[in-house]
Amino acid sequence: MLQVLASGVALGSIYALVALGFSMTWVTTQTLNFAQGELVMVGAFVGLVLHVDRGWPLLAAALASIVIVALLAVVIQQVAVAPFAKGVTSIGWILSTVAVSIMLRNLGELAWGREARRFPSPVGESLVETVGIRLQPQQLLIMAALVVIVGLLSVFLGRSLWGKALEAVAQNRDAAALAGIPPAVIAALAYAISGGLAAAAGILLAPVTFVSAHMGLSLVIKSFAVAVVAGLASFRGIVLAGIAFGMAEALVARYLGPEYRDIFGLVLIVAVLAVRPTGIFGIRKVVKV
Amino acid sequence: MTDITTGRRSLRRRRLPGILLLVVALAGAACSRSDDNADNATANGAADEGGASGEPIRIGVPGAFSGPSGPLGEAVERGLELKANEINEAGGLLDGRPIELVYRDHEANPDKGITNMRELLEREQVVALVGETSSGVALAEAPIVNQAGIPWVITVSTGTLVTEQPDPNAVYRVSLVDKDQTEVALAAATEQYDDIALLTDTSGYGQGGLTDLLAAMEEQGIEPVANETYAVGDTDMTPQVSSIQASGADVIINWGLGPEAAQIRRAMDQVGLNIPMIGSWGLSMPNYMELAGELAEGTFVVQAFSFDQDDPQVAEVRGAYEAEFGTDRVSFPNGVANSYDGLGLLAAAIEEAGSTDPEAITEALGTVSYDGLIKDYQQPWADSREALGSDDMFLTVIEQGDFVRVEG
Repeated sequence: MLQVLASGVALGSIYALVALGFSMTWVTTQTLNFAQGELVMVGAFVGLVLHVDRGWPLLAAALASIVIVALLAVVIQQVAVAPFAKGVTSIGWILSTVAVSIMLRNLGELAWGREARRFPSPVGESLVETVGIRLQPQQLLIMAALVVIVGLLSVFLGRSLWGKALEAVAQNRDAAALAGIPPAVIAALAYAISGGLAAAAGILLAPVTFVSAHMGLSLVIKSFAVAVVAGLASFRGIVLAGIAFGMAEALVARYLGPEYRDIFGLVLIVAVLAVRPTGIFGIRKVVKV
Repeated sequence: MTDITTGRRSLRRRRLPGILLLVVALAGAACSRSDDNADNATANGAADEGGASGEPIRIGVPGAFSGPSGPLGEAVERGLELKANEINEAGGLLDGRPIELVYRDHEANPDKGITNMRELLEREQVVALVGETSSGVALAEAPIVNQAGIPWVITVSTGTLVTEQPDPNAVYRVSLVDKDQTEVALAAATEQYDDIALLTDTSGYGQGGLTDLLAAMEEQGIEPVANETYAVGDTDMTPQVSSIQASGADVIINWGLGPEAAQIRRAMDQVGLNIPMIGSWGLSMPNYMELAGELAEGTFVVQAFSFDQDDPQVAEVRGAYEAEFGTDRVSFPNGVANSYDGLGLLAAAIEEAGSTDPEAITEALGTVSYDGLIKDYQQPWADSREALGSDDMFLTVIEQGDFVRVEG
């Protein structure tokens, strides 16, 4: 059982990374990018092509991939989100980002083929054994990377000027605009960060799951579930929820049967929304009339 | 003070449920993605190379040549191409008429398969059909083919039911029928082990295999100690493998394809489940060995053909393969050999019939004999629709990256 849980934690860390991307764009622009899963796929493939096919060092390939996908996310924001997100009630961006996700998936097939490919792990494949649990080194790397990335992100948001600007917009968009923080730049920055997170998730995940054009599909649904369950605005909540979700899903697959695995996430979204619409870690906003 | 790292800002409550509904609906729509890119295409047939110069004999080739089943289609295409070139360079059939292969790609989508099949039969006026990769699509296409009375030699799809058609049955096959493959796999398992675990994917292929496996086991009065499934595309197999470990099984029979089987081997390694795994011929495709790496070692795979043998005909075809396609990596040797032999049998029947009349070809198929790559076929379709049976299959084991025949 511990063994099953350990695999769940690793996958859950990936869900958390992708869900953090959802959160970034939600708190700043009140929009979500449903092509986030495909950005994970693009990130993994760019990393694969540069590192495995072109022989770049892994770190350089990873950084290049993060930059490329971050730019791609900004393009998506400019082309498929901003024009469709005018006004609070607008939901056109949902359709447009889902459309982008389908396009990216099919373009991925055309560009990189339809067969799954292997991505060698930088930390090797020989299993690590601790307290009776055997882990792939890559799974440990994923958990460590989650800690590092969340740490860097917190420092960026808390200490840097742009990070503080992001926070200001998250707290009060109108006041931030009055204070001279340009909302359009902040929106692009938030999408760039969410794209970078997706690319990092893709490169971390690739050695565990292989790389294929369809790898993003189930990932986006599960990460969205994590984001909703945690409450889209809570970073720490998302990390905890991601890991808990990964473990719960693994337990469901083990003890109820693998066919319930994918149902579980969707049932959870509906249940949490029914009981606590702001998510477990969200705080109810009292609307004063 | 609120800040986004601790998340004391709530989301807008009323919008979320609506968004959610839309997303779920859209995700559903995206899952059942329509496969309408890359239409038919890939026609040709070496009609203009070599000696034959008469009116081409048009033979239709249905199959999945792109999409996730694309690698199967590639094997069909290459096997047929090699045989067609060989025949055409030697002067064609019926005194100088070359073979022309007319391909239609259905991407494993039955609706598309039916449209393609009507096109082949009605517009392209093919005199016979050869190929087909996907059992589900084959079942959907078969009624139209039977009605048209055009003989069809299937060379890859393995579904047991595919050739069991009502009269007039126009379907013949050169492939490793699931029922026979499962028999070979089960025999190998029961020979040494008592506690058998079944691990199959939830696609039509995996579930067809599961049905055959369960039927064969029931006949022998055995019950599997574990019966686990997984979806195509699943990446974490530790839950299934842990269940199998808990069941005390001492052998796994897997019915599925390479990428998921590779994940199974990883999960087995991780939970420390060190028991043999027997797989269908699907694992003879190189993606299994590539993805699983060293963990593929020791996997047992049912097959009926290998290019590594001392047979002049096999060596010649192997050489032609490398020359034609510029690679020594044969992505699915057994699929290539089936298709090569399938067209060989069909061509021999056309010669025997002395005409391209579908009825005459059908009659000739009942008596045709032909010395092929896999074996010397002696009237294989005289009283059955299957040219290969469990006697033609054997167990191989992966040793140092090669398939080695298990003598038994």
